[in-house]
Amino acid sequence: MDKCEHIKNTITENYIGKKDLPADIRTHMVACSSCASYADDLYHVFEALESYSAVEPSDNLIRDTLCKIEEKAVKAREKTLRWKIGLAAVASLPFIIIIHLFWITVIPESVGLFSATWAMVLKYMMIVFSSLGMSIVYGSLPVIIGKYFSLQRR
Amino acid sequence: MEQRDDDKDILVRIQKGDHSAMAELISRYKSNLYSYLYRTVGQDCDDLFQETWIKVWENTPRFDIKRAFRPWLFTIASNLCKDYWRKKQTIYKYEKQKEESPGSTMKADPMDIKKALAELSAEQRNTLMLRYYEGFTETEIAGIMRCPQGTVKTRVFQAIRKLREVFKDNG
Repeated sequence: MDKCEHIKNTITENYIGKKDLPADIRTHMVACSSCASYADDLYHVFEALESYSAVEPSDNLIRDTLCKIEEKAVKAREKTLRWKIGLAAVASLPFIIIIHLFWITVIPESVGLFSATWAMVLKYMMIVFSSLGMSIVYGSLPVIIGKYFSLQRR
Repeated sequence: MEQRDDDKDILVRIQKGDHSAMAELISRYKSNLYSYLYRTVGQDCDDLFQETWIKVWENTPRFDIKRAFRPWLFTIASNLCKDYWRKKQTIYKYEKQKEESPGSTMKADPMDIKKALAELSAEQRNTLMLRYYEGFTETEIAGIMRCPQGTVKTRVFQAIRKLREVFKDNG
């Protein structure tokens, strides 16, 4: 790279970085018409770039942007809520199946599939599972319904 | 522009679901971001402004708050500009052809910077905006635009060379 090419690059870099030209470059420009002309051209380019002033967004645009974000937030919360409802339903399903199986197998002891001791153990297990299943389903319902209505109100 | 230390606090609040923090963040960067978008894509900047903030909001829960926010914000905006230009490329080429056609009486105003900037490629314009107006370093722009640092330097120089030619031709 010859000296002038190097100086032109330095001039460009200084203009981009919004810095003053170093003294040695200025001295060179006095003697070199090519570099002086280049600097002059860039002066006009950067003067024009500088004239492209900053613009402010309108208050309406800011308000609309915040509204759109709020809408997205509500949708995301509703999606989470639907997911929770689905999960509660899926979680309660095994309990319902287990309870159902116990009802049809354990309760009619006359079937004779289990000994008296096992039948008693299974009966207690049935009570535990039933309580657990019901507490999950019914315990989560008020929370889910409450959240649903609070979302509806917003 | 320096990264503001209290961005971190605002981002933590957004991550915790504080919606008012989002308004604070927008208010802090609205001028810079809007000017960048306006200079890069012109009149359609309103849509991109909204899209940028929606993307910021959507991705803040996953954003590592140890990172600087401003380069991340401009990475999102820059990617949206890239997509915008990809979609607009056909229309842009058509309009440019129309302007260059022999029958056309349109001539660029020597001092019209908008028309001069329209002569640059999308990458050159985007790089120049980030470097000159937003004051990002070449390293930061390389991160924002996901390209080597040398490419950033080349694009800026090419952009300036092109603008110089445009101004000389119309001057």
